[in-house]
Amino acid sequence: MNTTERTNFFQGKIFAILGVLILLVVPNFVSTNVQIVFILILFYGLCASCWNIVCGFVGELSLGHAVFLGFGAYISTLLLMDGSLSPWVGMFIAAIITAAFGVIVGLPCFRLHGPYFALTTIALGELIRIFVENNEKVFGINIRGAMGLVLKQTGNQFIAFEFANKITYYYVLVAFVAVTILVTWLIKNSKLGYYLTAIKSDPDAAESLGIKLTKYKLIAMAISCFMISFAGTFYAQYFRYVGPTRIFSHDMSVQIALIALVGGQGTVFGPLLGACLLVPITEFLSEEFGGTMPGLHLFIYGIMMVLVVLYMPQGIYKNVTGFFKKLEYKIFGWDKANRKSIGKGVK
Amino acid sequence: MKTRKLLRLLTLVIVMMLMATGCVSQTAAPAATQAPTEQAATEATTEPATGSTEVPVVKIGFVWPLTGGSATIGQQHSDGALAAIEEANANGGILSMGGAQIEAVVYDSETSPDVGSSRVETLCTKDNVDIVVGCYNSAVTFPASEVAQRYSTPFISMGGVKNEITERGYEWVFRVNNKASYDVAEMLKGIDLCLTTYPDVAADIESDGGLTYALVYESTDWGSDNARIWKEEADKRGWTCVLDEPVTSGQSDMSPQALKIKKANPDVINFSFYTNDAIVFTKALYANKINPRLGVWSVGGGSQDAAFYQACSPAEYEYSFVQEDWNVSMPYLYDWAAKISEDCYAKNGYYITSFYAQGWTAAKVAIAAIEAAGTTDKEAIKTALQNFDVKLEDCADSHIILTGYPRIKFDENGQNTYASGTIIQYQNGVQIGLSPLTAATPGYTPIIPIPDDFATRGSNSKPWGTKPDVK
Repeated sequence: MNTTERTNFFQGKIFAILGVLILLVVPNFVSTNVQIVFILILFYGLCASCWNIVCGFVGELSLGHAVFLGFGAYISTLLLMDGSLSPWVGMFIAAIITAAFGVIVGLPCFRLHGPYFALTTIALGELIRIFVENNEKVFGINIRGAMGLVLKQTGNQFIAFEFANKITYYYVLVAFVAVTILVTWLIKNSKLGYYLTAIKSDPDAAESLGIKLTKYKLIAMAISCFMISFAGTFYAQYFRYVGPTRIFSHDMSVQIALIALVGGQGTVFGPLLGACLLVPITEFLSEEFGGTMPGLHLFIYGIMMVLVVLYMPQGIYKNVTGFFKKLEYKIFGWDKANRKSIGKGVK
Repeated sequence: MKTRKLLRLLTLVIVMMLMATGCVSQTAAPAATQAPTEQAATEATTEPATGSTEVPVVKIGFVWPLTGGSATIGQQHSDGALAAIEEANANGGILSMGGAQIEAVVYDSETSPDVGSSRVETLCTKDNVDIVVGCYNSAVTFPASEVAQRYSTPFISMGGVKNEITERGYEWVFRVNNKASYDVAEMLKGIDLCLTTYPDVAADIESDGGLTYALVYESTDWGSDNARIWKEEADKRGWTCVLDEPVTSGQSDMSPQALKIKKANPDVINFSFYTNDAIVFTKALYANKINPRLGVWSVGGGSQDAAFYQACSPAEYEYSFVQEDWNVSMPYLYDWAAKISEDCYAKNGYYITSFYAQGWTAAKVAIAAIEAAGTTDKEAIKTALQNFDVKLEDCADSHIILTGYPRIKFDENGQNTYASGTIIQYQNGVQIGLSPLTAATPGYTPIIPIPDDFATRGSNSKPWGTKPDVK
């Protein structure tokens, strides 16, 4: 790679690389409280990215994805509590079971479209939550009903997925997010991605071209559920408590979907960008006003959501990346001709 | 273009709102923390224990459900806690620390376990508070207190009744209020009192095959825990459960549950709901004219909320029994409690409730522990809590136990074993204390069997909050 090529490679990506570097390096030099915000950014970014694999690419609005998050959390935690199985192993078992459950759920649900699909996923979420809240045992396994699962502190044990400091949790999440982003990128640039895009654009046309709609939707669903299950395991290990009222809640599902929608569904980095915007705002508003003016933080958050949905219905991804690219061209003084050639190169 | 202009205008408005509220937050902090009066500050400055001219600041962190399903309850806790701090600051702050000012840092748990845990973590790491108080909901308190334990910060649990909160061997967690098992025990004692007061009713029940009960509760951590303990204790007494009905929170109508109860025809109904569900359930019972002979018994929750009594008519809650998490007779027994109640009414528009009293007492315990420690060293505050021992009769000046517990002393698990509530019954719309004897309203006995007077019920009721005429 000569100097020009190297320059071309970095052009248009400098702020993106800077953003990634910030996410990688900055948490090392900030207070624990700020580290917590970074953890929440990546956690919700991870959940939204997983949601994006099935909903962003296929174009259906799932408002019940917290169910799969909860499955991951519950299964890996039960394996740890009752089977003394390390969450590092348990999370893969949980992911496989969650993916299988996602396929079973997807089979009937993907026959529906638009609001019917969304309503069905809401119903599924509520169904699972109510079921878990009201049942102490399932197939002889003690899921402890509404009481939830409590993980006792065992000290700083890597094998038990328990760390003494926040930064370790953070880098575990970095790894999870990196894998999810990579998987999303691979899907987007693979045959599966093209099929899903075709299905999203015009299902009838895609089907007439021989694309099996249900098959590819289910593949996307399985991958999405598999990945979000890891987030569930992380949630359980990080908070050391999993209760059905929160983990399976409609609020959680909507939060995941909104982050992806605001960030930019169907894009690789959009959901993470959405989390980078919304999570710090939520945390800041809640910390600043939550105690003195209860509800104000939710009110402001709501207004911001309405504005984004009204004026950037495709999400902020295009606007944000466009802004930083323009800024980059201005700072580095790259000419428009060069910019066009880079644009073609990227294509 | 118009759209762009509108967008810019809206953005400007939001930015201004953020800036304005930010300013309020900064200026409101001392108000919320109820900084000491000038006089107290001067005293503290002129007589510092350390000899320094600078008045130190003590930080107490609070996490309450200020939004979400328990918002009205959390707000009352917060009102009580802030009022307690205002009083302490007005009286010179922490005297053993040279009149240190007490600053409250209040966060909203949003009635959510993960948010509550994060806020406790923020209090421990960002705000560096000396002690944390919260979080009312058991489901929030449980994981949140674990965070405090992890950061070796004293945590005073107030409101959460889940037994296990103080059964994990956590040395930094202390609970001032009662456990779920205490609540149930109090209700069962209340039923015993009814039966011993009216042996003929007890005989009727016995001749009908024994006492029957129905459990209706929200299917959450708290509701399920209460139902489980009730069943365990009732089984020991040989009572029969004729309905065990968990209900998903947020129902707009509970007629189906009411009809099930009507069909089961229990002697006692026990319910556990937060405010919204408690309102819907109570209205459904009244609409369906359900009248169990030993009444409807509520394990506090929404039935202790002032908002409940604004939403329900006196006829709807007449004769109902409530396990209040405080001594309801406090304002009638102690002048200082009566004054606090009047002040609360003047400031907030309601007389003190169980939740207000709990918030107050929790804050006062935190303040007293720091006072005893004489330092903000967390280890010393923990030791002060472990050695904490205050009796109600000694609170004339300190006003610590507004909840009316006879004593606050923590056992080896951090549980205040003296925490107790009151069984009350609404008679003509007025709260009548029945048991224990220390909280009983003189001259009254429970009304059972519940009269079948739906046509006239509530017609002579007094407004909620009316003091009983002591006979």
